[in-house]
Amino acid sequence: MTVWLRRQKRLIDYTVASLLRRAARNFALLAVYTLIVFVLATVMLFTHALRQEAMVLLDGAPEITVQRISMGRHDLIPASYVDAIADIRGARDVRGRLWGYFYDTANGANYTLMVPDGDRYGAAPDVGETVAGAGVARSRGVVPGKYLFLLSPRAKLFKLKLKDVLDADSEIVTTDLVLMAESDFRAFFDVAPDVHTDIVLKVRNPREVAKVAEKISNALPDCRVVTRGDILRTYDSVFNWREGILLALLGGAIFAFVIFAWEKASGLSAEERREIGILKAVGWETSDVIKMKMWEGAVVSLGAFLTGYVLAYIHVFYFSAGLLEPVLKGWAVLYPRFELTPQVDGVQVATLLFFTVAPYIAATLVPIWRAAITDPDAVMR
Amino acid sequence: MIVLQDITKTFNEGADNEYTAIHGVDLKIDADRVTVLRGPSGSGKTTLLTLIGGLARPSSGRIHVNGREVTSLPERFLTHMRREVFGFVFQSFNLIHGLSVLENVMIPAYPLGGPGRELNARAVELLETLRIAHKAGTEVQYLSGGEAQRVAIARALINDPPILVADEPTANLDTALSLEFLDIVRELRGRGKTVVMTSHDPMIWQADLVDAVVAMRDGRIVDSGVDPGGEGTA
Amino acid sequence: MIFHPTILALLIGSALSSVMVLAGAAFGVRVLRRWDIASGRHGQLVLERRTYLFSVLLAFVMVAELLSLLLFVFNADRMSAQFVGAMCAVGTLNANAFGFPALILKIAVFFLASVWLIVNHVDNMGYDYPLIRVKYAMLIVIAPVVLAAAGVQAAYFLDLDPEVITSCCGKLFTQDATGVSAELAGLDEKAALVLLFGSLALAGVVAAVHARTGQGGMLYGAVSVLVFVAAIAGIVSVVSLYVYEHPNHHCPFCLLKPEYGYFGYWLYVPLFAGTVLGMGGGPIAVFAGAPSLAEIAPRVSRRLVTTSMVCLTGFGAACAYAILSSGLILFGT
Ligand SMILES: Nc1ncnc2c1ncn2[C@@H]1O[C@H](COP(=O)(O)OP(=O)(O)O)[C@@H](O)[C@H]1O
Ligand SMILES: [Mg+2]
Repeated sequence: MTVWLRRQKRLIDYTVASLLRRAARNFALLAVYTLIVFVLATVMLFTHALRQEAMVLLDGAPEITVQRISMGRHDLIPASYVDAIADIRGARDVRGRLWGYFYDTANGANYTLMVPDGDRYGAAPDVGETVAGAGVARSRGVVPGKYLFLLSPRAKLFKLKLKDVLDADSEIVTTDLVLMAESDFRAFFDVAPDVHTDIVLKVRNPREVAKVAEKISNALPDCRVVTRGDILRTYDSVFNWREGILLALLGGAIFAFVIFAWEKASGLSAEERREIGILKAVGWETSDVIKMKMWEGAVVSLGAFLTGYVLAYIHVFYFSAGLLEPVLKGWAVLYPRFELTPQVDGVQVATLLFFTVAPYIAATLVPIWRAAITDPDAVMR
Repeated sequence: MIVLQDITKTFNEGADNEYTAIHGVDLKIDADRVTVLRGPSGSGKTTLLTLIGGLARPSSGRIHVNGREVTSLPERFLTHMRREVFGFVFQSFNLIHGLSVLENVMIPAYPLGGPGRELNARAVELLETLRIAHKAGTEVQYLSGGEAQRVAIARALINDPPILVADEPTANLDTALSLEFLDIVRELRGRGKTVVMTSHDPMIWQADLVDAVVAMRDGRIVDSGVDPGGEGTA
Repeated sequence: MIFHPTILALLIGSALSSVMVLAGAAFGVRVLRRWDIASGRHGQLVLERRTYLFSVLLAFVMVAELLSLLLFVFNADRMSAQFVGAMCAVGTLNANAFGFPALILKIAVFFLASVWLIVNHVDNMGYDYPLIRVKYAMLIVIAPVVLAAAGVQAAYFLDLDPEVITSCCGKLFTQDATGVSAELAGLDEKAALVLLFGSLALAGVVAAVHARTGQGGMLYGAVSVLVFVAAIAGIVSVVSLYVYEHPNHHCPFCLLKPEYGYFGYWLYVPLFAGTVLGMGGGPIAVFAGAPSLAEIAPRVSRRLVTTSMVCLTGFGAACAYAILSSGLILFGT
């Protein structure tokens, strides 16, 4: 075993030295390889992060959401519907919610205004008070105890005392939240007292979600019933589909890269040919040469993969995938926020390996073998 | 001892440019001796040397090395046998450019996976005996002809093979360096090594340390006598 | 079909493997017809050199298939969010009729490729290619399995429909369902444990005999397959219950999740390693019949069988640990 290890170490040392000796020649390959990994990794890291964000958001979402649809658009839902739904067997904790988006002309940011529901965000604010997300507090420069001024859509100025700031780290999705009391909310948006934005409920037995959803949509034909599972599945398949299409398009690039790698591996210089001939003549066996060359492939792949992946990681999580923006714009509509949480995922890394390293190695196997079977007596001529 | 029986080597068999370089050669090479293959250019010396050293296989015939039949060995085992038994010094030295003297010397030992420290010590020791240790760190492309040859000899001896094979060892050397080479061969013989070399240089095959001179012409052996200098014409 | 990068990657991987193995099988036919080590002909030399290529290709196939097997399972787990009724890999695999057959074929390909490499390794140690015909005949047999695995996997992915309501481990592995999985789960717990530890003990005895006398290599190969089957049955029917500390959760996949401390790896890594080494290492003892392997084959066989037994013992220890450290009590004291 130690002999085996030492032999591999020698072969690696040798191959690293010979790579460095031909650094200029190998640079082009390494650059292209790194670029391929970088582009693919960017797409995958980006979509994965988006998907994760969506999942986090949905994690706290209710099992069933009921929205009223009027003329094909989302409409406010009458409070009477809450009772209608509460009567359905299996439905639990039926509540009307109040929330809305608000464009703050003061600094051009979008806030989510909401009447807290339960104690997910701690104690609910009283009338005239607010609890805001860290992002809101920071951008408006308000600290607890001071006042947050908001100009309502009806151009009425609201003055809310900031009671507390939501913990910045605990939940990324809370950063743009502004929580307020129900009466303040209704006054701010001028919402009638007997309607809600939508209705949410829980279901006693998770296996009955589909059945309960069906009953609701039968009882309230003007409503759309969305289950958490529906949202998850839609998000997931939309993300997967987009990512898959992009990768299929990039398939062309991978193919070109494979051809390039094959070319590179087959087109040995006279110098390299001579070197392999010498190795064989002084006692290296064909499989030693193959192993040495495989190590070379492994070193190149590792270098390109790590560099490409790290660059993609930095690109996506520190520069919000700026280079891909024109291509990926469609996603921004679906999910507007762009502060992605760093995520590294094993399945994804393995997938990326299959897209880049596996084709590279496969493309170089035959050329490596060809080079390795050089006749040992070639150097005598 | 190496025994060749009815060895034929045909290049490009079956093609238009088919050429038979060795015709039915029978030859015995004794251990612990210095044997020289001589003959005019193109007579097949180099080809025969590659067959003796297991660098190539004969098209027909049998070769026994120390009693073992090697012609039908798979490549893998032929290589194993070769690196245990033979050390090669090539006509053009064939050192790997860009690597240091020391690295070049150690290369044949890499696939064996022996301990690194030991290998290093052995290489330095060989370079010292060959009086080239002061260049251990130099890249080989900067060496002179004589120095390159001594590095090539050190490389051939790194796995301590019993037989040293050299093809036209003095072809690229001047007279003074050729004499130095002969001194090295003498020393090796004194240490019990078998040396087989080719040469068309009378200075080599007339040297008194040569035990046997095998004369070749057109792929055949014309004289396999043991009396050096017996037949003075090339 | 669901268009998904990991699915694409798996399809690419198995396509590559298939091409390589097909080329290997075609070469195998030539070897069986023309191989003649005594010949110095050019054709023989070419054939001999090609064997290096196919060793490398098969090594690639094995690594690719191992990675692909892992990826297949993890991907199935990941995709469970997309199917109504799926909570883990079981639900996704169960979404159509090809899922589990694809998994089983992939495991088979991994085992076969590994056994081939073990035989190849031994063959390379004999000075006259003693097993060359055995090896390439094997490759010709393996090729259809690799193709089948690739085909069934492709069928599985092409046929996946997110609208389908599938059933997951909770439903599939219950006594009142039907099918192999239900049979496995329905296995009497005591019987399953006896089978599991009994087969391990049997393997231990055969390995000991083999180590001492060199006999029973072939038997050990067979026993390691038995151990594998008994182990999977044991995991599904009993061991999983202890890990989940739940009397009805019979899932072989959830074990790999972080919720259960990745305990599955402690079970599957030694189990797969032990099985592969046993399947390949045991039977090679019979090659001692070849003069050039007379001394090598038994030595390698002994070493591989011993290593295999160490792995299987590790697996047994992991099972025992799961049972003893669990809060669940299945059998009254
Ligand atoms: N690889 C080869 N292919 C074809 N012909 C060769 C090859 N190697 C050597 N020859 C021929 O074989 C003959 C003997 O060559 P060689 O052994 O190098 O002679 P020497 O070393 O005595 O000068 C020459 O005519 C040469 O052209
Ligand atoms: Mg010559």
